Amino acid sequence: MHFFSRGVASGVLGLAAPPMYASGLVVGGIILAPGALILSSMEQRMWERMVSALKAADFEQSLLRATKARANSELATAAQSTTADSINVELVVNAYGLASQSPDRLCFIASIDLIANRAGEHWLRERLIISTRERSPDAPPPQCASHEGMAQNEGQMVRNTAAIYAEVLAAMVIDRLRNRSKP
Amino acid sequence: MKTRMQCTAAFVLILLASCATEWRTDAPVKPTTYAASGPVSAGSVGRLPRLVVTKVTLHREAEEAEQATPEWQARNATIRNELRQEIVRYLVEQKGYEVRSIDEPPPGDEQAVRAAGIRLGVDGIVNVEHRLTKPWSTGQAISNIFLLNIPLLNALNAVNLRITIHETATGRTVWMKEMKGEMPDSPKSTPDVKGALGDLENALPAQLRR
Repeated sequence: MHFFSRGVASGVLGLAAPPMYASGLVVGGIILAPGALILSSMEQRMWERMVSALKAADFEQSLLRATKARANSELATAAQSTTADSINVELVVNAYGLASQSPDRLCFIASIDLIANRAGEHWLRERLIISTRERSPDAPPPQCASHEGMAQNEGQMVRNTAAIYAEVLAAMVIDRLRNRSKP
Repeated sequence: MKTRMQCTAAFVLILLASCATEWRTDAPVKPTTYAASGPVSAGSVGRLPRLVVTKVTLHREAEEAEQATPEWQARNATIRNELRQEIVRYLVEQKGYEVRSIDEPPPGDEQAVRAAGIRLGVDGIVNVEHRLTKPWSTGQAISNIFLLNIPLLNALNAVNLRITIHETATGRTVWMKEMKGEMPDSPKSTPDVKGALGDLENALPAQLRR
């Protein structure tokens, strides 16, 4: 007994399949669309937290304060013992902030130029970098973490890292000035 | 009502996506090898820059006769050493810690952690626990269907790697991360060290520990 010939059966299946696909798409869409929207708004909030933490860190001022403090405490005695000319030091912040290392990971990077002139003449110029690809020989590895890790506790890792980088870069600047001063 | 629905949906999504659990202490983290000061926050594990990694605690499933064979023991030693090397390498190169490994089992309690930490001259001790399971048999896979996927959910929730950091000063646990999902016992299985340690704070740089 034959209910359908081969062609008829496949024709029936062919008629049934598009509604099945369509219902699958509708159900999938109902699940995925709100999920994507929620994830997107969560990601946006994470970025907002990181950006506001970065703004609040006031990196340039922290770097200046740390450099002055270290210069006063670590270079003052050396300066008193010599009758050297005054040295004019400039720090140019080229870049600092969060760079993407991979789709799910961010790294805090910083790059500054140290320019020092003595008696109006060029005396020292060096770029100090904390980054994933290239970094100064005495620089620590950059702080990397997932988006969630960077954003948690209102961007605590971003704020901490900015403060640590300011101190580390200040220490690196003072080391270079001290080494350059050695006879 | 809308907010509640969004929260529920977010919770379900997070539950589905979560494959790791991190815990950290709320108490201040205290180093022992230098005087802590400077900009790093009191709760940061980065204040413990000198660490040792103890012998990896390894769990593998097999019959007793198989566990007694030299091949089994040799494979255990290889898994332990490779995992520990990878953890040490990651902590040193990516996170800036001063790390060495010791062939001692993890200290038992807080007092033992303090004693070991002081003896070794480190700020903290890292313990690693790794679990490998037998791949599922066809019978187990079929029974999972009849058991409404409960074995599958258990397998997804099982811990395959646990890394714990204890501070020498008090012997307390200050940080722990668990990576979830059953890991089959095969040469291709590699624990996700980057995922486990990726969100750890970097060690306080040497310039700030003078």
